[in-house]
Amino acid sequence: MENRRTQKEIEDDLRAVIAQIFPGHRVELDSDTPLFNGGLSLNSTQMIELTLAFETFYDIELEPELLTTENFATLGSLAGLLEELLEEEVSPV
Amino acid sequence: MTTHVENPFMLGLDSNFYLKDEFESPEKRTNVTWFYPKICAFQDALDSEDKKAEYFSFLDRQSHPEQTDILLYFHIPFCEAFCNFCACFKESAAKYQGERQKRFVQAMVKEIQRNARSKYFQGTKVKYVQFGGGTPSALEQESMAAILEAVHREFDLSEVDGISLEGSPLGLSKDGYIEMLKSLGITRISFGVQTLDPEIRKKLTIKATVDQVHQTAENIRKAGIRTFALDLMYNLPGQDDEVLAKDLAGICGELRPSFVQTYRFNQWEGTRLDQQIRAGKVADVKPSGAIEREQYRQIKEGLAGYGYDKQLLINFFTHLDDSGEIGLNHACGGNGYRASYTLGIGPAAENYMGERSYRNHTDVERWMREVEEGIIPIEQGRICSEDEVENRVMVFFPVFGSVRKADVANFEKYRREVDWLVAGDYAIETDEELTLTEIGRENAGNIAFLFYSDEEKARARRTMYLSLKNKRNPFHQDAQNIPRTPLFLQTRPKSAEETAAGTAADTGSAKTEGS
Repeated sequence: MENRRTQKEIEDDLRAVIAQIFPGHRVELDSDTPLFNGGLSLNSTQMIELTLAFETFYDIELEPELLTTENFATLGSLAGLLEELLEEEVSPV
Repeated sequence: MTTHVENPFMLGLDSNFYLKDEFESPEKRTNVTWFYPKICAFQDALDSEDKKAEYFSFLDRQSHPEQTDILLYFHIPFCEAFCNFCACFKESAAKYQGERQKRFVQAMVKEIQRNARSKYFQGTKVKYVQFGGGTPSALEQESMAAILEAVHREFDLSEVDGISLEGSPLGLSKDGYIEMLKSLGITRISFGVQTLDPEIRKKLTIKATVDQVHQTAENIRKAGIRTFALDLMYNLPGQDDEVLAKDLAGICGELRPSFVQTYRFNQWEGTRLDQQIRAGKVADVKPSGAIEREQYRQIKEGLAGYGYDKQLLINFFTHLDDSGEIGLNHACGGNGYRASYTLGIGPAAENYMGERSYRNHTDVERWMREVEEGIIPIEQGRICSEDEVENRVMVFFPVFGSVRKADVANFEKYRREVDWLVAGDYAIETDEELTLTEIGRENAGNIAFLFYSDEEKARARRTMYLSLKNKRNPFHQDAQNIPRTPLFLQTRPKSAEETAAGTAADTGSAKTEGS
């Protein structure tokens, strides 16, 4: 990924990734939709599977320390985290 | 929408999300913790001889603390046939016959000698011995006899409370097997019935027949084995309330073991069985969190109705008024009354020695090779933090149903969680004890997770992540014979470029610009 992506674009990417790996989860995903309870209802295995899927999608690796429930609280919070990570990826060192 | 029962390896890694918010949700009930802290092949690898030598220097320099009890656990990983719901580490017994089985037994004896003759274990009086697996009775009689003889020869069993062995009717029903076990000091035999419904047994690829189950139970009784235990599962596919009632009647009323151990069915995501169940190919009645909770209650009521009203551990019931010493007080580190250490021998065996927690190689060939070469056959081990060692009593107390405050090093450390449990009617606190209520016992697995340290929760998440990333089973991190293929391995996620190309092909427009 060479171009910087906005949070909104990342949310769209995540919707596509989620639709691909969890086809049974037919939930409208807004920015505020919880990924766990009361929303997408992912379980903790699926949280990891989602991580591995977007790592492949963006060709990045997540530090395991970032696997926090705060970062994975909603579609928006996850997109925010990814926006930061992708920005680091494209920023000149 | 599809709902899933939480993966029992992972539930509760963040108590705010999984536990307190939806504590009694049907999808959020999980297994009790039996191993804590879990160790990880990626985070706790002992990958150099120097590291191993340093880690195990205690074996030849120290004696084990006198105030602790020692349990021996032997992992015999072989099974005559694989039940499709089982996630335990196992190997095909057919692959280890003849000379290969002899080599395995020689390695077991050598590992027994290496430990028993170390300074740490010399003169140690072993309090309990357990053979698990796999299926220990999948070994030939002479093989099992050779291992048992070595245990008697090398360790001091003069004060042992018992020697227990898990088996299968397939091996135990062979002529003379049970008698051989009795003659070599086995005091307790257990085997998994799971269900007596022939159709469900077939779907779950349980090879032993119902007739063999009855015959084996009869043979154990005739041989005069002091106690025997049978496993009963619930929430199995196709096991409606009527089938479960028949299972209870058959096991408690007819087979009448000393103990019944209950286990919930775990539907491991991504396994072939999981796919078959979801596709409706196994049974009309599919396992669910709601059924699981209902059947847990049905089982408790049913067991009590047949006289099995003494709940010795969370899943362990008896009709005996006095069950004697059967090792339960040594389970899970001893519930604080008296510390119990576990020495594990055999492939994938786990060990707990105070602050040391380690596991043998899961690969049988590698385990044998290292034992033969005089190398300690360990693949992972960690020095537990003070927090982890201290938390063990509280993490395990749900297994026992209660804990004496005097046996918890720093009970007030857990004040916030204890108050939450009491306010929710999950536990009763007195001056002396914390005791789970009935609804607390029903949620015992979830309660255990409340007492994991934040560090331990973060470690567990990393273990899961690194295991799946490295295409290993998240529990043992072994690469073989575990019937779990994560969904992401079955349908590999696509990169942005692939997704864009696929979308363009499908719709004629690129979805992700600039990728």
